[in-house]
Amino acid sequence: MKPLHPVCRLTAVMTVLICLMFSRSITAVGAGLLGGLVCLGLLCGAKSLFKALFGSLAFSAAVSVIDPLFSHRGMTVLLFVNDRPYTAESMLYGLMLGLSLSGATLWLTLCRRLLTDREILCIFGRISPKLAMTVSMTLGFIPRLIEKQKRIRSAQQWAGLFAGSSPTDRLQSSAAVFMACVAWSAEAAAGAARSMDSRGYGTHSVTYSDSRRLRRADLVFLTVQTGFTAAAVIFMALGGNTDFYPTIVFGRYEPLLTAAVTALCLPAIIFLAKEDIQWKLYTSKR
Amino acid sequence: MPSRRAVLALVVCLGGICAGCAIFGETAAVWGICSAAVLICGYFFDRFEKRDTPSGDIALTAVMTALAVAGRLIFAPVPAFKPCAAVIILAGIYLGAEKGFAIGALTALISNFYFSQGIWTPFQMTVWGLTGLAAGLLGDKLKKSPAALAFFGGAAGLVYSVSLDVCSMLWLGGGFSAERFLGLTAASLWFTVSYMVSNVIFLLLFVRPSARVFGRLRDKYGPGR
Amino acid sequence: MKKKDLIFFGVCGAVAALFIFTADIKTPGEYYALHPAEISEDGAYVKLTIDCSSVAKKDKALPDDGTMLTGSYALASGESVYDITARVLHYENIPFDVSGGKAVYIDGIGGLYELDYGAESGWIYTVNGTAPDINCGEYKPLSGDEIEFIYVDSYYKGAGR
Repeated sequence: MKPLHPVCRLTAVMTVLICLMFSRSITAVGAGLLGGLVCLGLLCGAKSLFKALFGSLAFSAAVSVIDPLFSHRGMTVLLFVNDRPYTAESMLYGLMLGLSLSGATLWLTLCRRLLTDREILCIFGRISPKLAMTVSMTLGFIPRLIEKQKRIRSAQQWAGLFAGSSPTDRLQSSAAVFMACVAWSAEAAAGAARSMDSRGYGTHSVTYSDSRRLRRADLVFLTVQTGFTAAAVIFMALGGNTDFYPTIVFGRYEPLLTAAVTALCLPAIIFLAKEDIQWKLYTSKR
Repeated sequence: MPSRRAVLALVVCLGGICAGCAIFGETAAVWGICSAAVLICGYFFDRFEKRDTPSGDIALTAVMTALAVAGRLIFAPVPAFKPCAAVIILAGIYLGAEKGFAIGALTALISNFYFSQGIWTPFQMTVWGLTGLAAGLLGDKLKKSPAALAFFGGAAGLVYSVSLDVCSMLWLGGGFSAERFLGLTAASLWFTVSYMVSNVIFLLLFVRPSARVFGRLRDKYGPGR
Repeated sequence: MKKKDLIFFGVCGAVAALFIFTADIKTPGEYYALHPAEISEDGAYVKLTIDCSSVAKKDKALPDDGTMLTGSYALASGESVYDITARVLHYENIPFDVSGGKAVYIDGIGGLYELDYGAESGWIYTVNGTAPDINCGEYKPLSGDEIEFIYVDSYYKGAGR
């Protein structure tokens, strides 16, 4: 999905996330999860797909079995645990919760795959450049810090710091190494501040530069996604959610809600499938 | 006298929250906490953005955030023993309340880049940000007495765990459900206790060296740091 | 399967086993036998009344207003009228007798038997005011139904039919 602007990719993920989080309809949540699995399969291969599928099903089953212990509504009682009803409707509600949570986690890992850190910063750089600058500085510092920590640790080890073997000694030694990192970082920060000053920080407002502009394809994508999200929200409000208690009743607009959620996942699937097919077609056959 | 823009923003936010609660009937609680988290973070980030911060403050904020994240990464193998919150509290004490919020929120955001973004990211951001904020507000008292600092650290760990439990309960149940809350609290008891204990331990370990480090910073690079 | 995974599954299994052994698990039938009147939130229930008013005045042993039993009782899924009535009568210590094998017929409740007051007297049951065509062992009530067992001393003029 590289040709699309980062905002589009982020929107694709966030809109599905909104639908998964706020709808209480089993079929819609299942559709969102399924869409995420297909995207993951197209992006990362069949092995990840099966791992994610297995994980999601296992998690949903676990929640489905555990949730009725805490929620006692519903008409069809299967068992009485500690004199409290364990109902089939609560199991289905737990199943929906499990599907929704694993779907959300899946789409968030997809987001991580679709967008790099720099692109996420690009999006937020337009809104609050100073914050984006701080975040990019932090992201740059972290590997240096970890490297420095390893160096300090090995140096101190050879100087005899980690002599004691009891947990308290080890904790204190680690803490000493960490404090050395803190001291080093504070000095490094002062140096960074000086270099920022020398580059003219403070003389004008901070701007974040990025060369990507929104093209027509991006605008079309954004409109389509927003339109389907609005449709999904409207269907949710009109009554697309499943009523679980006292008995399972599917909402009047539930098929439409499921269709809207599927439509939300489709653009991402189409793009990823197209790229996958193009890749397979263009690789040399020899 | 609040500016017209601020009043307009407030009206829009309240309107959005009410509209959401009306639309999302059953999941109104989820909408409520999500929008609360987003609004709190947004408000403080906006203040950070609009303020005139010298370059040294920005660099120091970035560095403290990097330290907290690196702390979480280094201690990743150990399940719930993390110096994250301790670093945020100390940074809040020595750098002020607003920087403390920014450091706390950004730590949550960035460390989730490295692990994986969970659904609880906005809530983690808000709670850690508020921890940094509170540490900054109570800074003087906490500097004077290590016992108060230890107590604050324990309380911060407890509040973090309980807030996440409350958010989970509202998310899963769509309303207040005492049984679910007790179930979640019992399930995360191990984490709650270890957050509190690790906070206290790391705070006590770091308090004197950090007083030295920050004092030296102030002496070397000027007051107000 | 790494060691970490084994430990995780081991702990889960131990917790599950602990739970199954310490928690008190009953089927709905067992629970309702002990607490028939406890209707859970959203639970299915029926209103059961046993009415012998047609002959109450003729026997001092029967209650004056003719109502032996009235109340709302929980209904387990798939239960017939006979199942729930038998359970409630057991719980309330009201003796009753049945005849017939598969086609169950309750011929006596609380000491009052069919044919006690004439060739046409006996117990009939109605659901929501009308008497169903099938015996009470096969009729499965829905939640909210009102079941009445009425002692009639004149069958062809009695309620329903």
